Amino acid sequence: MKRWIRKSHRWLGVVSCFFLLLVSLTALALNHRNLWLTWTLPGVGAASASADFSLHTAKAWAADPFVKGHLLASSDKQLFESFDDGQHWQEVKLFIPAEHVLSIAYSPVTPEKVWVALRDVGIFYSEDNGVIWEELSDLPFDPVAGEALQALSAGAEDTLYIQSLMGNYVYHGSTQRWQRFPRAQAQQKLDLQTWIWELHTGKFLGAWGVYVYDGVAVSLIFLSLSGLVLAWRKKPGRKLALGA
Amino acid sequence: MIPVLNAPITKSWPRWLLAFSLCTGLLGLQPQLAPVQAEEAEYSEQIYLSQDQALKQVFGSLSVESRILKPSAAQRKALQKQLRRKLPEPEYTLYVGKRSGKVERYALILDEKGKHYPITFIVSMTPQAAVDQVAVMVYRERRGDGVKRARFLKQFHGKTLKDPLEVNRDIVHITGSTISSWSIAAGVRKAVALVNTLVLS
Repeated sequence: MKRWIRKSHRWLGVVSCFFLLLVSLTALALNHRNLWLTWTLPGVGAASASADFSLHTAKAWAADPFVKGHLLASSDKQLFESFDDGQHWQEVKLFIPAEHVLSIAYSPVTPEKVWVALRDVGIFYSEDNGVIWEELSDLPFDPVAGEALQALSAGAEDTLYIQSLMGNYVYHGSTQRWQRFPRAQAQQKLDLQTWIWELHTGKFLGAWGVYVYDGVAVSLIFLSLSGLVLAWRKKPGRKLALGA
Repeated sequence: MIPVLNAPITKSWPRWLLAFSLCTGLLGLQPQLAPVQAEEAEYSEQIYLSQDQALKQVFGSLSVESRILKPSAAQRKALQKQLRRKLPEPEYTLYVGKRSGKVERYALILDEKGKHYPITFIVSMTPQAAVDQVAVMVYRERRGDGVKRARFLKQFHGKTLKDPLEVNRDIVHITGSTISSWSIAAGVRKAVALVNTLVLS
């Protein structure tokens, strides 16, 4: 009986090692997506020039409801527009660097009006298709102080729906008034899923979390491999030293 | 005997690495679980140069005159397109430094919104509208005043409207003052465009 348990324990350990390897390697791959995309698909991981940009690399994008084939999209640090359904792109500049544009929305009622949300800065809008920009100055929360912007969507009568790190807001453009509304249950479920994903990848700790998890993943890979080697090298008659 | 399992604890570094990583992770979890409310930005005015001191710094011994620049509707439209932003100010005060009646320097004192509050700074230019000096006069926030450093401001010297005058292109931002760096760069670009359009054209 004892021998059977020992044998099962050993084989389960070997199988678990492969599982740990899989989890650790995929965690590393998830946290360094840009790196391996750059290695495997040249030009995809770090699109910086308009020639390299495509919708595959876009962080956010939106289609102009009034002009067929007109798209506005963002990479990590730039905004691009296309007039041919994304075949060719050209850079659209704001008066500040367009870093971390997480969401773009065209007005469904006002032609040429577009909003972009810069995660850690604020919301900028243009009423002439991105030639002249202005900052939406009266946000009821402060992205610069940490309440990062997450998403925005435009509705009828210049209504803007905004999601930040800590709440959801509606901006009524006609009256220029803000309204905060509580998060729905669905949003809470979404939050839980996001939280689990962030826990899995270490991103809940920000940039440090990725490095901490890298360390954990490398440790687990080492432990798994060394465990496999030790299991492979086990000779008949050797006693397991677990608990010794 | 299995060497790894029976080795002294100091030699079993993978276990320590794992334990350390997990502890660091758990410690770091704490602030994330309790989201911080966005606080109202603290106003903290720091005056580095008065208007007289700023003008003295950029003009030296030149005689100084001031002129009001009021862009026409067409000029405003052209400027806004060039700068990719709205220009809310109806007019600007241009300071002209002259020696023996000949223009030697132009300067504009501008305000640009930093993180929350405006940064006041002076931009002096040559008669051809190339940037000569940039100096921060008033900074109104507690953090991020690294933009007042010469290391950052010297980057603008010699720049003209032909240059991008943009952070991440030809200007390197100051770490910890990223948004203020963007603001100063946008402000210098605005000053150069104003002199080009309203004075030299």
